[in-house]
Amino acid sequence: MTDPREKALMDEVSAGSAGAFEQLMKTYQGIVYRTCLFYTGNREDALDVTQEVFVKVFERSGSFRGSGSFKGWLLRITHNESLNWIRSRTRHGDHDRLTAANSPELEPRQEADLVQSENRDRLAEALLSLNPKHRKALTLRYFERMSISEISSLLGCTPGTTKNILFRSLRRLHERLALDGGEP
Amino acid sequence: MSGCEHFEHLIEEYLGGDILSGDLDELERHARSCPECRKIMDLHRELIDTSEGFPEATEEEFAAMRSAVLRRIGAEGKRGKAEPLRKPWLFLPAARPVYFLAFTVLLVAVGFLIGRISPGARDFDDDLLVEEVIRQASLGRGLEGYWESPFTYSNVNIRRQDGRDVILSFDVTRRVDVPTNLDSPLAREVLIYAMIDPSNMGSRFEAMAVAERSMDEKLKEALVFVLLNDPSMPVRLKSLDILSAHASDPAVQNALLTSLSQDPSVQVRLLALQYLASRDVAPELIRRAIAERQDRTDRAVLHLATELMGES
Repeated sequence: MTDPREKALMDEVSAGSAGAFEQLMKTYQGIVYRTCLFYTGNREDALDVTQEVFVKVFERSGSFRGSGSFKGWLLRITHNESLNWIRSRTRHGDHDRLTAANSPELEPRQEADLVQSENRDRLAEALLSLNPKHRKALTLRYFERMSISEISSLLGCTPGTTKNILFRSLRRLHERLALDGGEP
Repeated sequence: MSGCEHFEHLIEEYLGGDILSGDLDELERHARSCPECRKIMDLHRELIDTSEGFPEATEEEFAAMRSAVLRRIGAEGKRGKAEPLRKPWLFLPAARPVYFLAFTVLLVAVGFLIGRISPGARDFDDDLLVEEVIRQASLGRGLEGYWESPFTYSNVNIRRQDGRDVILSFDVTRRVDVPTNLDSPLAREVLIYAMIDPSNMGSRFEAMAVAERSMDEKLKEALVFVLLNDPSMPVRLKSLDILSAHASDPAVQNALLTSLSQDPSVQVRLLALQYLASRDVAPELIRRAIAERQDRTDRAVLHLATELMGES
């Protein structure tokens, strides 16, 4: 169920209140940004995708009925926009990254950033290959930093089941990472 | 992660961040000698580290992002005036009937096209189905709950792979092949269902043969159920044979005694008597089970009892 305050805020947004919409963005920008950051791997792209998410939230505010969790609705949009961003990445971007990796002029700091970025990419790719439920559980827990009870409420199950889902999701993620040739 | 059921529960507590310190010590000790559990715990930490290493955006960056959003939706400069946003008319609630009508037309058109083009029923999404089957199997319902499961399994086939890995094949909504491990909740669920489903004797025998090699309390409970309820005498004999190795278990011992006194087949009663006597079960319990039977003309059983226990 939606928090009555969230529902009221969304009603105001739906009715066209700019103040309410900005308040809504301030409240959820952190959680949306962190999710986008996981998928994009850098601050600039994450902020761009965050912007796309809030535009979509505004456009679809009339379709939010308040029967489910607002946060769940928002995060669905966030995941979808992040996936759209990944799909739209051009080969040119990948080429740049490859070129940078082979460059002999990389500073140690750049190399460290590159390794960190590659690790994140490896994790992101493995995560994207999971089924939606497992992916959702892991991103809620680790990248949106939600508590078990918050995740339970979003997934509509008990805390015990949530922990079990997390466990199975991690095991599946580990299998995918191992299949891709890299031990986590 | 075979043989780690107890630790799987502790890992779940660990992932939830509410593991007790004593349990954590126990888990850490186990993980030192169990690479599979270790890897899950390491991955958990790696994900936390990755998440914590994310660069946070500054308030200035967020403010710029919010301004960009408001600009794009046509609300820049109106924030302080509490003026309504001008949504494109298609996004207004008043436009919902238009959406509804367009959607209905689209749905009918698509349904019509699919009906014309597709040769058969729509395919199910196997992954979703299997995921739900596994979830149901993980609910840990008791034996009485198996009949309440939303799924019915039939035509069970178990193909052994390396080690304890198996591929379970069974009909649920449709037949699926699920690579799994004999210790998984799914393997247990399907085995138990196969054992207690009276529609296919072959599946019952096959499931019991697999259960014999991977016994646990639930499978034992299912075998007891089979021994006391299965309509087929050969199936009850097979169950009895498997359970005889566990006759020191009080629940199994009670089942053997019940079988001795109540099973309609004299063959089953004789075998039950033989196993009970060979496991040093108290003779008075065996005598009482024999005496409980109303048909006192069970000469074969009385004769064997005399041979085995030196008295009738």
